[in-house]
Amino acid sequence: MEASIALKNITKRFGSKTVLQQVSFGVEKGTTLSIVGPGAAGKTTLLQILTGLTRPDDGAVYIRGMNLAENLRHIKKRIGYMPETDALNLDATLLQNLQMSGIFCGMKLRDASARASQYLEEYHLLEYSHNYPDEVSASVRRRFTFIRAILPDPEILLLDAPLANNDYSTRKRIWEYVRSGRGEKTVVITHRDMSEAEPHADRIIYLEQGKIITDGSPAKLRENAELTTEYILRFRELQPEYYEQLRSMREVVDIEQHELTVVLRLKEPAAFQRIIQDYESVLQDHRVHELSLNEVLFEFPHIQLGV
Amino acid sequence: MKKILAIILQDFYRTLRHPNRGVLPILLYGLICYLGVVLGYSRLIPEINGTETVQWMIPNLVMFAILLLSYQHATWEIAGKEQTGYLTYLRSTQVTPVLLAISYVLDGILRSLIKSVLIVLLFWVLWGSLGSVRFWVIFYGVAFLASLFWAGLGVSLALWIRKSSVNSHFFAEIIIPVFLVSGFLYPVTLYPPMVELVTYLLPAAPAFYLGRSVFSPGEWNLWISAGLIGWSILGLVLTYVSLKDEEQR
Repeated sequence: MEASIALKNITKRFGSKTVLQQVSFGVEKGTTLSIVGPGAAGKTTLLQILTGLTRPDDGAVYIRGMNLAENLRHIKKRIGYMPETDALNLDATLLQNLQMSGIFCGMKLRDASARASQYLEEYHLLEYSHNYPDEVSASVRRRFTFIRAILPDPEILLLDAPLANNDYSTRKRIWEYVRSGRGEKTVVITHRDMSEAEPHADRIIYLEQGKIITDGSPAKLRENAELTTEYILRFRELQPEYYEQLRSMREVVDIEQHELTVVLRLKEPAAFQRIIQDYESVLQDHRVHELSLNEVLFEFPHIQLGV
Repeated sequence: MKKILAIILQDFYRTLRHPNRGVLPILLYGLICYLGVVLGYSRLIPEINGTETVQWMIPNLVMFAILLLSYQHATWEIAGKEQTGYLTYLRSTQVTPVLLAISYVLDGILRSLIKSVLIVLLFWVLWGSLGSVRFWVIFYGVAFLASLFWAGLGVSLALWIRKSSVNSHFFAEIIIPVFLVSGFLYPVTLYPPMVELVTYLLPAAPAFYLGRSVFSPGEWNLWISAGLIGWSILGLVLTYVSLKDEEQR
């Protein structure tokens, strides 16, 4: 497939702090990439580099094969950007914000107005169109910010935390829009956690402290993820020797104890049946818990994902 | 041109339409303030004769208002837009730093010019006549050129010094004294020759000198005019460099 975006060895420093370190990846045309990571992982900086708002200290960005730094004005015509903050003009009504942004993106006022009205109706926002940004809720502002990004019908859509502050129906509509453009529009979305990215994105990059920790499709990540199953044993009475016996077992790679509960991660799932049989008389119950990618990445950072 | 108009008109729109910041409250507030200034000015100098008032006091006061308001409006606009992230958003669109520079500088200047007309009209009501309209048109031409530096300085400082407290200190401790020694209160010719020479190098001095000379035919000075144009160009360059610098971050 054709590469829509390619980043090569991007490094960005703010003073002595390195925000992005040697980040390289490519995004195929018409696919959706989710960049996931905790706060201050470098997600926003990465998106700002893609929009040309921030220049990398090292490395280069290519959009449709063109060097971003050398063809900034031309490339900007292809990009729709939704910043992390609403970044609306407080001195203009919400409708005017959309109309003007259409003009700033090279549209005619008439076309911008017509398309804005169409989206406002679709997203149930017509009643707010003559309000100023500070007169509406954060959720309404966020929806307007999303519409502003898609108004010029960009080929590449860069959405910085678009789902934050949005209700379920808006989040659904945003994903519907992304899905409808699949194959045509290249979308890069940032998230703080994996829960929204896992079911919708074609590909996920997990970023931490400016480095790519893992990169792949949700299915591939899950497939590659080691030890994403927890085997949980609840004892009636937990003798210290039980814990020691379990810990010394060859198949047990990780063990945690919370009062009468022991959580195991096993190399071989079959070993769990044997453990249950061995401790049947002292066990109250047992269960198997499949960790989501979100839990793997955020709650158990010591469990490594294969790349 | 369409993009510049969009930026400027968008900012003006709320001023004209919003119930709390609409045109009527602003005009009333402005009228009361300016009336206070004008009445105070006229009561403080009861002995002054009409010619001196027209040739010295009124042009100086109007020029002072225009330059100061240009600086303040440009600073507020750019600082406000930067704070909300709107400026960053604009930079992600096809609006270039040159367009942004022109728009915000023009925005600041237009606002100050419109407000300063109130002062002129008030003086006109009080004194009956303030010289011909042609003089005032030329005066506003000079004021516009001079404002390019001050609005540009406002934009640049708002972008470079992002702390409003530092900006306030700069305003109180540098800008106001610069105005005061640049021929606003006294003719710079009253200073010792060396000090007079230095004052001509200050950015407000050419504006006060040329603004007054509109009403005193024969006082036009080519070097001071060149200085004024130089400061105007510097204002535009400052704005462009600061916005370009913002792009390099």
